[in-house]
Amino acid sequence: MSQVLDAASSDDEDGADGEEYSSGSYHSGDSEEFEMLHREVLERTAVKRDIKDFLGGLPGQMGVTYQVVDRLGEGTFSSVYLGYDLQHDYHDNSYWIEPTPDDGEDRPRVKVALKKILATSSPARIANELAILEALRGCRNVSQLITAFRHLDQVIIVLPYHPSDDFRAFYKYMDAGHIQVYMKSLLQALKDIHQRGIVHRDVKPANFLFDYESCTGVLCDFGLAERYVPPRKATCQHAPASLTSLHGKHQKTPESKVVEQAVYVARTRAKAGEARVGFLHEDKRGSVKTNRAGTRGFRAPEVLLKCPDQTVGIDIWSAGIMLLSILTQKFPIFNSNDDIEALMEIAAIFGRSAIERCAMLHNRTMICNVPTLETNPDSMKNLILKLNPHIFTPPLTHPSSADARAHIEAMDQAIDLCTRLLRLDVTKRPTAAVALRHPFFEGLVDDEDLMVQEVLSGLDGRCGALHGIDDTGRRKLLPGESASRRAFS
Amino acid sequence: MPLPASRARPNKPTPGRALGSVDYNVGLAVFGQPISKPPCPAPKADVFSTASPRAQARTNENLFHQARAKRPLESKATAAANPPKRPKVEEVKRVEEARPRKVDEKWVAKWIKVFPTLTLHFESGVDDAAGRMLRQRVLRLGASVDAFFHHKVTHLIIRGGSSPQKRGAMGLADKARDMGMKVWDMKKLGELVSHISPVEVAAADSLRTLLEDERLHGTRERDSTAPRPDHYYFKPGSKYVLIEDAIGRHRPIMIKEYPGGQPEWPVLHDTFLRTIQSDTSPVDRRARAWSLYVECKPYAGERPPGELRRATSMRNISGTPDLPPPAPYQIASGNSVVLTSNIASTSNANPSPFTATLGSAKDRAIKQLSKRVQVLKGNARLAAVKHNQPNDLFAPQRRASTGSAPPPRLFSTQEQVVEMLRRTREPKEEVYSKEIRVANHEKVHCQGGKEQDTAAGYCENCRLRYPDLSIHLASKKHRRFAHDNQNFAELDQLLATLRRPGDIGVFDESDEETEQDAEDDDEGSDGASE
Repeated sequence: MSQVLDAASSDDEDGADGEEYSSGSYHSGDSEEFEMLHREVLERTAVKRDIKDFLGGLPGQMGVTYQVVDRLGEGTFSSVYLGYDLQHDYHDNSYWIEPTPDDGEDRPRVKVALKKILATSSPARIANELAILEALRGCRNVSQLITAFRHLDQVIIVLPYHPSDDFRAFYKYMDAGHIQVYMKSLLQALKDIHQRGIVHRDVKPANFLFDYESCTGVLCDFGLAERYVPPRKATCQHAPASLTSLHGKHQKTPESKVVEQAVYVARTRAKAGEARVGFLHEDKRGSVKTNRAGTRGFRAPEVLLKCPDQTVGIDIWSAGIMLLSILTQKFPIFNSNDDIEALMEIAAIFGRSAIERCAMLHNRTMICNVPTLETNPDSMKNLILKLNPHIFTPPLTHPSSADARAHIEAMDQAIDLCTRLLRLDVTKRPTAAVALRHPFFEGLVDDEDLMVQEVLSGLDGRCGALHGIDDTGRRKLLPGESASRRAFS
Repeated sequence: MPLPASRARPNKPTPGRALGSVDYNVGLAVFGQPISKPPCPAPKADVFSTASPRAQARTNENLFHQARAKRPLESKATAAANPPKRPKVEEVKRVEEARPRKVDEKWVAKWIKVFPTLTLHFESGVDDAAGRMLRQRVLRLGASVDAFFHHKVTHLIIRGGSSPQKRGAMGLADKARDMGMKVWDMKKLGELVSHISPVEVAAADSLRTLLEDERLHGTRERDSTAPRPDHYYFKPGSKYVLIEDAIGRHRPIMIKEYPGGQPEWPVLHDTFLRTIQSDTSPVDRRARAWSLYVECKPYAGERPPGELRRATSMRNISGTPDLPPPAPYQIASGNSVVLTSNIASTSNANPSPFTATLGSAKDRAIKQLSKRVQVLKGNARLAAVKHNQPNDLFAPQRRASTGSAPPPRLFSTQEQVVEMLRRTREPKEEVYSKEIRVANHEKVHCQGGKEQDTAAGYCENCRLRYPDLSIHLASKKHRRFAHDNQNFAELDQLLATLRRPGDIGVFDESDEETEQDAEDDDEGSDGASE
């Protein structure tokens, strides 16, 4: 099985190993071929065992191509491993890595991330993720696809390795500069993927790899991502998204009158008194079928309200939640267990009339007598201040007057940006491109950057078509696959 | 009560009509309100997708087609222009002739899309009844109506009457054509509008109609407050959330009842977004910071930090902060990569100000761990104490800060943060006794490398739920799926295009033999792991 890796394992004293696990070792002792000294000693055993299992399911050649040295993370649908790209120099890597000057022999080996998709995922789902990664080539601050391969039911996606810090370790200590870069990188990534018609659907700190020291951020994990396909006609009181309004806009539809009437009726029902609000017992009507993939606490209100036409705006909401986390120094922000509770938490922050208006936008009526909704909502600014009273205090030992001014003004802008990203009404939420023009990023984002709608490097992907390699090893377009164009026709 | 069934069956003569009204009745009967004028956008699709169970729909469809064959397309004229002259059989609220053809639907959709871009000018004004009616309906479709004739107008609506080609309104119509505008007469516009967004014809509430209605649908409560037997009502005193589909096509989106007076619903600043300290002082935090730090002036009795003695102005931490303890991460939908650790981190075993506020999160984390791990954790803690010196330097600082202000924020410089993060990547060198290591090893041997491997879940390929992933993956059914290349044909096609340029191939065809070996090997290992 994984002879390559296990050959060198040196058991010294772990008696438990010897006879029972003759096939290989995964004890906690240090061994040359792994890179997990930063881990807790006892934790190493489990990770080594896991790596062994991982390699055990793959043919031996795997070890020739990649040397797995650590695990980067695990989720429900995938695990990610760190490995060395042993045959790096045999390949043309210009499409995913900046060429390093050839310094001869002592060039550091290149690390890659190996994402193992859980074998219970359907081939179609995996193909979707790959097609989306392929379509996102050249997008800035987005994890680039190197290659992928299959062995039986195991599919491994090879991605560049981006060193990153755990969000939970640094979100309480970010100064204005770091918040700016963090949000800028995130919004830049969203701008590029949204431009190509891709909704990430699972934007959250764990999927945004940020290296605190070098201030680089990379959006990753497109396992839940999907291509935005506008419905044939408006499904709610907002028009389907178009290239000019990525989040859609308000629109009267033939159903508007019915919706208005229903909302009116709902209000009168709500006032009818005790035990007068009810619903049909055995409802023969079907339930709304929409995609609600995402992570609790990061789902936009329209996802919770089961809007059938969810635009890229849901990613912007999630980005807003991340900024709110940073500003309030609270993570996670919400602790709901289900969608109803999640919506109630949002309602508690925004108040009754706002959430009812939002519901109406998506053809929903809301009757609710929970006291949480009765209090007048605080402004977002007051909410943040309540949670983090020190937000305006400059995080410096002896701040100069100018430092302090810069900090306070930056926080003003950050709060304003946060308020905007967290608009309940998706059509009023700024697109990533618009958000990047927010004064909070002044000086950080140059105009030229903003003008670039697509990445115009020689790398492909920007046409939204699927790109392949022809017989001569050059990359080419595959005909008939320009789905993102279709999405925004 | 299966409404659609009872509705459609006794209604054979004109089932198309009955069906046309079904979804509105179902939807709005709930509210018990008379429907004024619900326009019907795409009659056929909606009727069949929502009105009745599938089998029902099939029979209905047949009936529907028969009915259509019997009744050729009737006049498309507006309701206003052509008052209904139909026999009052089961007229409740009926929708204008449903047009089920696919082409038609597309055409309608196209016009609905185009309408908002139109600017109309009524040549004769919209003073008469027909004009007013038309104008309203056109506006509802999103077009704009301009009272003045100018170059932005796209369509000139002339009174016409007979034929649009006839030169009825000489001057203006010709001028409009010269300017590239379309010239339509009222009739054409009327037909178009009624085609795109048909108006249902309100029927007279004759006794016969009402009785027929009641026979079909049961009694219609006009009083929305009157209780209905087929409804569940939230209990008096309980709190509830009810979110429904305003169109009435789908069952309620969310239903939740909080029994009793127990506040189980989220309460801001209590059950979530809890405030760390009760900061009730009505201090304008921004003004305070501005005054103290920018202007260096006292604010509400508080003096700017520059004036304070060094000993009391230490608002930063002298050392590098400790990492906050690993709070349980977002594992809810858990579909993404998360960094998890089954074993307690030793670096936070010592009490630090950072752990204090996160105590509850930590407790939860501990509860989630198995008993066995807790034992390990205890040992880890013991071991860690030796390594970390007590870190109580913060307490006196906190006390030193006085005044109405909340305790000063404990922050660190960015260099310190970077240093702290770097430290997480440095080698850890705790030493454990052999017993601990053996126990740990045994645990790993029994439980596997990660929880994911033995977790319950759903296999999209075998379409079944499984209680243990590793057992399912080794099952015959799943192995059969895995070995059938047909299942992966499309994916393989895509993968072939994703080969690295200059790739010699990880699993190349040239290694057919080896791959076969590998498969056998794989099977073998699967069997062994069970």
